[in-house]
Amino acid sequence: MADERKRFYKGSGIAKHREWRGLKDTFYDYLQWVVNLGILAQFAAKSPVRIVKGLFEYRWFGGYIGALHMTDKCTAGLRGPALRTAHIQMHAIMKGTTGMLADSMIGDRRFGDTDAADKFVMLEQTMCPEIVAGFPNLKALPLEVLQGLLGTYMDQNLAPFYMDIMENVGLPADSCRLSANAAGVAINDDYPEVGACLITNNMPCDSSTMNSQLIERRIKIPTTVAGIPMRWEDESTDRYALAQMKEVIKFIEDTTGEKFDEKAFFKVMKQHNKEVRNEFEVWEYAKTPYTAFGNVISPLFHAFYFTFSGGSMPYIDKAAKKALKVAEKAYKNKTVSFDKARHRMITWGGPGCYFVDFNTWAYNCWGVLVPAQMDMFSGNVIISEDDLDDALLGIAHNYERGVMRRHLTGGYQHLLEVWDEAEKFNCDMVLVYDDITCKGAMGLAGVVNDQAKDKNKHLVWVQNDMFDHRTISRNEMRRQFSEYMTAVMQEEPLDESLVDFDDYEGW
Amino acid sequence: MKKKLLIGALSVVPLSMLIYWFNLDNKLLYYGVRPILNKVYNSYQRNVSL
Repeated sequence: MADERKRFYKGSGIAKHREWRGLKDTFYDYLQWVVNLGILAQFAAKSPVRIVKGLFEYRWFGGYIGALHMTDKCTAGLRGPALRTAHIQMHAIMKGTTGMLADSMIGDRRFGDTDAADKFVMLEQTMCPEIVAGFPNLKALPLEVLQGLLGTYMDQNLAPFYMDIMENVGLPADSCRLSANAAGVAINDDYPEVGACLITNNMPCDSSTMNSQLIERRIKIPTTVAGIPMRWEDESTDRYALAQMKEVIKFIEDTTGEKFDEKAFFKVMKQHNKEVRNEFEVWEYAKTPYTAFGNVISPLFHAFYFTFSGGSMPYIDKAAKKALKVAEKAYKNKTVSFDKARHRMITWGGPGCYFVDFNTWAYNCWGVLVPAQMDMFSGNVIISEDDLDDALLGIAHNYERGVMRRHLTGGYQHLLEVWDEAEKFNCDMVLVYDDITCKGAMGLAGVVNDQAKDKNKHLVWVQNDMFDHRTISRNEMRRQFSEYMTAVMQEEPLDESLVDFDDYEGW
Repeated sequence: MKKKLLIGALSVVPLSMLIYWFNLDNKLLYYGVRPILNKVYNSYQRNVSL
């Protein structure tokens, strides 16, 4: 029986030493660690003074020092082709994230007025980056995601500070943690003062509307709201969606003085389509027992490029193709990369972002491989490469099918797509996250339970509080899942030491 | 001088391997840098009224 947990300090979850994966894979992992250090060095070199100032100015920035730890957590237990695809995809995520962080600091007016500040169009929450594609002199830069979601993946202690600020001024404590964190960052004046303008959007819930209002009060640049239809299957909403896209483009033109460039726009759309086609190929491998894609990094890679790239980050396509080559070779050689897998499970609903490596843990502790999760099915729309109106509508469609929209507010039937996807990805288990502050998903719990009974499927619910580990800790999530594995699946853990352990104080 | 440079360059690899294997990077960041950053952040007074 393995005793992996001995490798970590109690409480902090910091490893005493890194994982031994056999000589070849450990040496490979070491080399990828060196590559990651190189990416971080490039990041620091972009604007050392402003980046250091940012690190000391913004509490959320401090969460990013857990980046290397997060990589270790997400690649735990991986060997061979699975380790390789994970690192390839992770490098692209790191490159993109550090690039956006550097841009935020380079353009931050808090550290001195700079022309660079006006080169960015700020996008609130998951607003689609494709909308900036027709402006080659401008760059899309996310607001909120850097200060919340991405940071929480690295440090579970990042968001609670901001959520407490939000609650201390009397705002509702039962609102979505993503919005609560975004509102707290705004109230604490912790958003960088960067950008020529800000595009907010009608995110799908009441708490999100609340944080948009608070952000607007604190941000000193012109803002507009992109109202994107929720009921994306209804064709009658298309005209409205297209008009909204055009309004946003006009707003960018008016506030930046830049003109929309069709040629540049279609170039990015071609790149967007490449990213989507790569994803479809990944799925084909993920459906097989010889997949090199699984656990957490592959879905994370998808969510990353959907939210931030949209065709504008050329290294995303390169990384995806490199990973696909590894996967193709593994498939041809019938290499079983996840040899501990006893079950295949799809995960659905809003995950606990402070437990980003839940899938990795489920694999190492219980031999449960996750080849697919809900976020992978966000976006994935092929956009026209030659007709402007069609392309703009394509962007709207891609966004309407996006994270938190497609399944949670796009009509109840889409949340129930889980059974079809489980079938396609050959999963014998379904995990649905009960995100306790997401009212959209909660309303369907009974229907999901009934359908599981009708379909005779193994369904497990795991509660989480999205950004707040104090309410439902990582160990509590592990306990709920382990209880199901023992009581219902009648399984013994592969590694007893991973069932119950303390990492509450950790990153 | 050249010899010193060569020795310096050659020792980078085993040194980095040691840092990697004993997870010294994360230990330094978690137990060293993080508490300092938290002290700095906690010292700030911000206007948090709506």
